[in-house]
Amino acid sequence: MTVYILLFLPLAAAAVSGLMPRGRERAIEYIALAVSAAEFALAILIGGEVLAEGRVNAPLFETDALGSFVILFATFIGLAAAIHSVGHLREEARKEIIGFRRIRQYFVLFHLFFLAMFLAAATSIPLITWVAIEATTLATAFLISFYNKPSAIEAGWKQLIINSVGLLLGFLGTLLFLNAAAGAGVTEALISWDTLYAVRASLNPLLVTIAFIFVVVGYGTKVGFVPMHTWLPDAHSKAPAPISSLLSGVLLNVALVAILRFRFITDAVVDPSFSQDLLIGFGIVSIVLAALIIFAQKNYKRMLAYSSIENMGVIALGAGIGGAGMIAALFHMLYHALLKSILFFSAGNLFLKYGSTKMARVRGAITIVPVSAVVFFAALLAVAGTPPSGIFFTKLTTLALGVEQFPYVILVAVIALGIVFAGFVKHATTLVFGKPPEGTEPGEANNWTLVSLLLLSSAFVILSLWMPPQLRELIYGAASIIQ
Amino acid sequence: MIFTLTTVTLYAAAAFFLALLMNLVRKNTTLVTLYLLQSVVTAFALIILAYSEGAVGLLWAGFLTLAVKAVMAPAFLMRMIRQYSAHFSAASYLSAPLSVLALAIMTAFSYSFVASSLRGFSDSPGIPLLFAAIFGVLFLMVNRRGALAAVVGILALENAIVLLAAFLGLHHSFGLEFAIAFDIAVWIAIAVTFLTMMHRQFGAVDTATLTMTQLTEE
Repeated sequence: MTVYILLFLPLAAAAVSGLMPRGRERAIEYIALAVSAAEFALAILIGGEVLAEGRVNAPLFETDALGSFVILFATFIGLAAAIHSVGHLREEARKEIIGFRRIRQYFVLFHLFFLAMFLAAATSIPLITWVAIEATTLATAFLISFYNKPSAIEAGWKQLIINSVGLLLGFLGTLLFLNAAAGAGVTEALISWDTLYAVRASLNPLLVTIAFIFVVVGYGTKVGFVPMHTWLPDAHSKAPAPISSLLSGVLLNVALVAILRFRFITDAVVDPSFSQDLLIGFGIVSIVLAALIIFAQKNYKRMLAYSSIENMGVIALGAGIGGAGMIAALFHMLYHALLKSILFFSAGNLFLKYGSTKMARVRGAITIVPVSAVVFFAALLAVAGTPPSGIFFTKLTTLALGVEQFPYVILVAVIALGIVFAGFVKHATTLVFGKPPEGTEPGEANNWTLVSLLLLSSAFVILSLWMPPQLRELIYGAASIIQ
Repeated sequence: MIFTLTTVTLYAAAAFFLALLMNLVRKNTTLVTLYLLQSVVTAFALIILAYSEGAVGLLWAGFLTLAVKAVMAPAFLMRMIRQYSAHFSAASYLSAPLSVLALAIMTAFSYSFVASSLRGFSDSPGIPLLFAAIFGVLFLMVNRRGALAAVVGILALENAIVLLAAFLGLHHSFGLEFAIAFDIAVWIAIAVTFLTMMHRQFGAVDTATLTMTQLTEE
């Protein structure tokens, strides 16, 4: 029942927000805050149910530990994003950049975006996962082009076209998997992940191999694997900051989880080295390309977007290595989601103050927006892998586990991660210190944009130093589902 | 049985040749008409498959597909073309002879690699044809600069995949087919809205004439 309520809430919130008459901005905001908080509470309940029962007992939505883990951090970041959205949009409304209709449109799409992500994470049916991930593309198209500028429209268009093509290839891969199951005698109309795994011994290995390639390329487009990543830096840099945080912190993981579920089936049918090579290949290429571009980047939001590509590469590397590497990958997923949201929120605060995402125009942030600047600086160091942040341990674990089996890959990864670190330090120093441009008034935009930052920062610090046993158990349970 | 191996091949052949022609025509209106024909083929294949299996749900899904893909989508796109006088599409990157050569190579690849990969699993000659159709529409999107060609390419790609799923014998519930059709309907509406926004911002719906240089690494 909890899963159904979780799916109903954002749908109802979108409908109610969409019907709000002019002048009811506050009501729309409070609905978003209340619904996001309720979703987080429901996610905790679902997590508890999964820990107790192994999975949620709901037809079509038998959420397991992996789905529950994704929903849990998605709702937490969703709550922070709702808080930040209130502050961010209020400031833009004050500057008369947006009006009531835009605010209403934003929150309607915000809820629909979450509905699609919950559907994708909660379902036990691969085809519903595909429909839901495709729906995220549709829900975010107008959020990316929210500001209606030529560059934003271009980014939205690229996202729509490239992801649609990618997801259609993912659809083809999914259908080939289901066809392999049909060939093994399965007659169910809606084949589940469990059924696919149950008939693994009878699946055609060649068909599964072809299917997995389509799945990795297709869903990998959504994840942002190089070379299918071209839409991602544009979309993540043009969307409003809270949406960028959700795109980077949550959505990429939802798509990656779909790949990992298919990978589990594939490994049971063909030699596991096939999927391992594929994931490690995409992972290392993504890390290297992102590292080089991060170092030479001149736009801080694009820099964060490339950092997401790099981190998806690290997760793919960990998942590819397998074993404890998979656990490290899931922990990395959590830490990256938190950190990337913190970074996009603080980048949004810089944008509200400086009105530009170009690094050349942002100087002396420490004197203009001190809290945001400190958080931005610290989060950049943390995401680069500075100890004692959680990401330091997940990166270290991944690299240490892979060094014996793939020494050259790990060597390249270490060099690339070193370049990322150098790039971040260089850019962060430039943005945070120095003399601010004349005429820039000091002061944060409003308290809402700080509350969200502090909420996520506290969570990240706590989870880096101490992991609640229940959450740890959930992550271990999630890892055991996909390996 | 109406849905025999011969009819499967016939539908696949129709989808393939229409995908091929989409690469060769220059007029946007012809491109949309070809897409309309391909959608009719897809919908009829679903309807006849549903009839032969007595699957009422799939029958409704077929009619829904017909409504969304053969009526709604072409109507939207034709109105768009009329509204913005975009009768002629943009130039392609490759010339017509080179495009034909590329398509021939992709078809040969489908018949060699894909057919041999699926041998013993599905012996229908329609399967490599549908894979060739998939490669053909992917090529359309890559080779043509027009924004409209990208939209038609995605819709045609979806047609080929739906046909492939039907021919591979996958049994879908009405609920799922409905969800997919709804997804496509929303996708069309969003794509057309984007084309309108692009026309408003750039004065064209053709990426060849747009100055889409806003997004760089600068």
